[in-house]
Amino acid sequence: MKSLKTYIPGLILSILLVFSLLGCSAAFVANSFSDPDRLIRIADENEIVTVIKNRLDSYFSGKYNETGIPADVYTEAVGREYIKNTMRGYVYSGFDVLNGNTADFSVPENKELEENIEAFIGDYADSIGFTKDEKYEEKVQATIRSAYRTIGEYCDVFKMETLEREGVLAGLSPVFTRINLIFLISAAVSAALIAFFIIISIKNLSHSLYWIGISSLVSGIIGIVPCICLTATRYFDSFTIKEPQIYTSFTSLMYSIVNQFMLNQIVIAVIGALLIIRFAVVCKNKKDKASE
Amino acid sequence: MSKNKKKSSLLIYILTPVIVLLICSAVIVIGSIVPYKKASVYLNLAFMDSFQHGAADENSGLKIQENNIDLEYSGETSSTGEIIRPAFGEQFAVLSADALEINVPVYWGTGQELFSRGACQATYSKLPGETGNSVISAHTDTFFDKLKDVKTGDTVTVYTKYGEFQYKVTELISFNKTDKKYVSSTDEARLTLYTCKKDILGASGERIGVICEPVSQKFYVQAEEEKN
Repeated sequence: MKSLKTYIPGLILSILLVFSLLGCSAAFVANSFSDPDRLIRIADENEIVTVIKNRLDSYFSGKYNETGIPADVYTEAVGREYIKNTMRGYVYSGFDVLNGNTADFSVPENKELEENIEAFIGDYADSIGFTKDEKYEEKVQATIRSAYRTIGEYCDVFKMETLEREGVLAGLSPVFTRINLIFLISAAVSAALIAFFIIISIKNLSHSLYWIGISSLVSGIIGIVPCICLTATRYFDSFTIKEPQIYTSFTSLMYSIVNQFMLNQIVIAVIGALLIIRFAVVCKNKKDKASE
Repeated sequence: MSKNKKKSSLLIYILTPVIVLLICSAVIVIGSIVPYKKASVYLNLAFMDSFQHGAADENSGLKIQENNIDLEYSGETSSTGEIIRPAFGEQFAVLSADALEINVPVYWGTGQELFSRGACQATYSKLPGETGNSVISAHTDTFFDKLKDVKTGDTVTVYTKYGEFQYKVTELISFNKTDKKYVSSTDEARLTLYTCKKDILGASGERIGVICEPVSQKFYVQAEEEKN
């Protein structure tokens, strides 16, 4: 950095490398969360299936006062496995839309549930001598549809169907389908800038250590600070939807993304610090050699 | 001279990361202004719980308060007075009508837990004693089981902490749950009671109820003094 002629370009390239490293890190995180199984793992880690089951049991128990249908007509047929499959179905359907395909956000058929409802309403109708006409059948089917709708609402823990209906998933799809490409491009740009630093400092490679080091360190700091703020202030805890399964799934996902990004940035910052330290050591050794 | 040169070199080495950090931060802040303005509405909607309450359990945030409402107040009363506004989840009244056969506790607010304990008054509606529509509902299988037996001309009394309000049933109503005509605000004071129409089984889309016009209102003078 003996003159402005080398310093200014180095400064500019360093700034570009900061942004390309940030972009690369963000794209890496987005890529790693573009797998539906990752979201399902987050839900499993938080025992979301148990939360859904408890909430559904509680809902149908409360609904008894309105409908006269005892909770166990529903709850006996809606087990943990069924809830787990329904929840996963919604996640996979959401990612199908993100990948540019159409998706079916329907709740899997539950024959036992339908038979329970039909049997209970049928027995009640027989006990009061109610004619099982077309209106009766309509009523039974409406009750079954309502049950499926409720189960779907509780199992859609990431609100995929709502996001799809509002056009959010379709809006994100163009970026989502190219996330791999974005990551590769930003990684290539970062590599190219690093290679360029090395080339222009070919006579004195230690300078490239310095520039790459400060770019990494600055990129790391810029990424870490907002993550620390979000985590320390528990920002995502103010999420508006308080329904436990949705709240827990959503906040866990957000914190996972933030933590993953922060971890990337810490690694980048540490690499930057090590490169700067290496540069300092090399400089010191040169000075010592020169003074000898 | 060479010592000065070395010092300025060192200074440049130290200041350069700071300069890069400041420039990059400035670019990010300036570049984020417009997107943040666009996104802030949605962010504020999505993250509007300033108290950062955790996930709700069934009664999270709901403080249910039961009160002993005096049904035989014998103190001084006045035809005008002040309302004592209840908190959400508070039992603020008892509803009485001969046809209902029981005295129904009335809670301020709605929700599964409150409906299991009594009738609920919608918080958007006016309190008894205020000008406007007081809307109270309850489950058809429990507290408003006998609402269908209430007839025009029947007397309905609402006992509250701050007064006693008597109404006369003037109209029997039946409406679809999507029809807001009977539960909307009104210019004159009235009481609207409703429940689900009992169907064969399963949730009904139909509602039945009664509209009551005020007959008398007695504000408790003692309650007003206690409030002051």
